[in-house]
Amino acid sequence: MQCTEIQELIFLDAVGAADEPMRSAVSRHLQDGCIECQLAQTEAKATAAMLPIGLAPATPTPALKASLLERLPAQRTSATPTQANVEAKGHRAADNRPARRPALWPMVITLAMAAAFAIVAILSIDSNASLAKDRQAEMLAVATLKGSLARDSINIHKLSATMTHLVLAQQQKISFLQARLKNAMALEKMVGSPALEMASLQGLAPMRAAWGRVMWNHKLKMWKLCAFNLPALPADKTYEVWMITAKGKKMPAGLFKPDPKTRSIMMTPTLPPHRQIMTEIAVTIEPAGGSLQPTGAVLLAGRINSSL
Amino acid sequence: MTPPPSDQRDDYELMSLLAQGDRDALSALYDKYSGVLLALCQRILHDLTEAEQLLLDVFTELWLKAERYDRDRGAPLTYLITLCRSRAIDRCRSRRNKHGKWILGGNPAENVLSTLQAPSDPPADAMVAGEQGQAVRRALNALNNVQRQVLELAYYGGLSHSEIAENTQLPLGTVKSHIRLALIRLRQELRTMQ
Ligand SMILES: [Zn+2]
Repeated sequence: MQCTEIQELIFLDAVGAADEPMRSAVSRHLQDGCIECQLAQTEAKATAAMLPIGLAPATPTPALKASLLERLPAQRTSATPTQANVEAKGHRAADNRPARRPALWPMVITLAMAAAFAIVAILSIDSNASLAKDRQAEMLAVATLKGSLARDSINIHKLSATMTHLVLAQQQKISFLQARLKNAMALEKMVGSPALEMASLQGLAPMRAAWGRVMWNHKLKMWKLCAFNLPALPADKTYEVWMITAKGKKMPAGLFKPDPKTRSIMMTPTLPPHRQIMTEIAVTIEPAGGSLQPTGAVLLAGRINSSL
Repeated sequence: MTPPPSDQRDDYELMSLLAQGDRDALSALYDKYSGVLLALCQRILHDLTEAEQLLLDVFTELWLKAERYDRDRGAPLTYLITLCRSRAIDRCRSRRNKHGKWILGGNPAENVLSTLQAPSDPPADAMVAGEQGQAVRRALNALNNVQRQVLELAYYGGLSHSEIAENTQLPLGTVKSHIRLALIRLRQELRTMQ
């Protein structure tokens, strides 16, 4: 049984409403050493035991205390009081006979003594009651606090695991957003500069509907290629971008797959390692992973004139 | 005349002295708590004579088996109240066996509040400070009648949750949740007081 179920039973047990199988379940669970439930039980029992505190206190017959002291064995033993020894001492038996009234004189004396005690007792009662109340409150507070601490500790562990997951997820999200922000800022800088240059890409058969733009800023050495109306490709194919030099050398400049929803792409072509004049940019379909030289037909192409 | 010196000692000290056979300690505990314990016995048994008899038995048992008290399990008053309630309910059960039917210590439909109201003129020697009593009554006041009744049937009537469900025609789950909510409410009120 889970701790939450056990604690339900602990509430029932605290007010005496649990049946035997429930009490056994609680007891087995506590024997397994669950501190949280042990504290919950202590707290629940302490709380339930406060119920009679709400009752108007009764006043025992004054002679009752004398009867009690009289019936106590002189020495404490492990014996249980029996009805026989109770009756032998002359106290009321647990039948329905009316209480045996004490004789008049002892009662008068008892009352007089009680009154005298009461006057003195009233003077000290506040501090005594207050001490008892403080101690009771303190005990309840400690039990409550222990229960809260154990629960808090378990909750903190659970919370900590959840928080770790959340933090990791948030960190990933932050990294992603930071990367996007960096790109956006770079793009803003590139587009906002007078050094921006741009060329169009046209779709060729069988992809005449496709088109694109290529933008570059030679001062910032940044390139961006946008393309639209691109058909989706099977998993074993990829689009590949080529930079073509004035001498007709085709240099691989990156792979992409368009967004299947928008059928578009914006990517950053890879720049050649050495400075050279580029005259054309082209896109082909290649086997997944790309090729060193184009194997497919040119499907998108644009004229550029840039020194990289 | 001076009050007995044990009156100045706290309950834990009294319990410890009691375990060593100190009669003054028992006397002091009696002075402090016989009022609330008798009220409890009377509430369960609805018979003053029987309640007083039970009170004597409980204090005698306390005297004979003081070592049974474990301070780690709760305050002495909690122990005394739990012991007293348990013996009173046992006595009710033996009545049931004797008469072949359950005799509740009162009318099950009786509102627990009716017996939990503060007396209009509380006795000056009320052993438990009124503040705690008020907190308990406040908590009970915050419950609805059904919740109070369920609590009363369990605590003072000694009925199990299934017997309560049978008596009140409430579903078992409702009985359980009433008890849980009532105790949580009581705990909150007592915490507020602290
Ligand atoms: Zn547990």
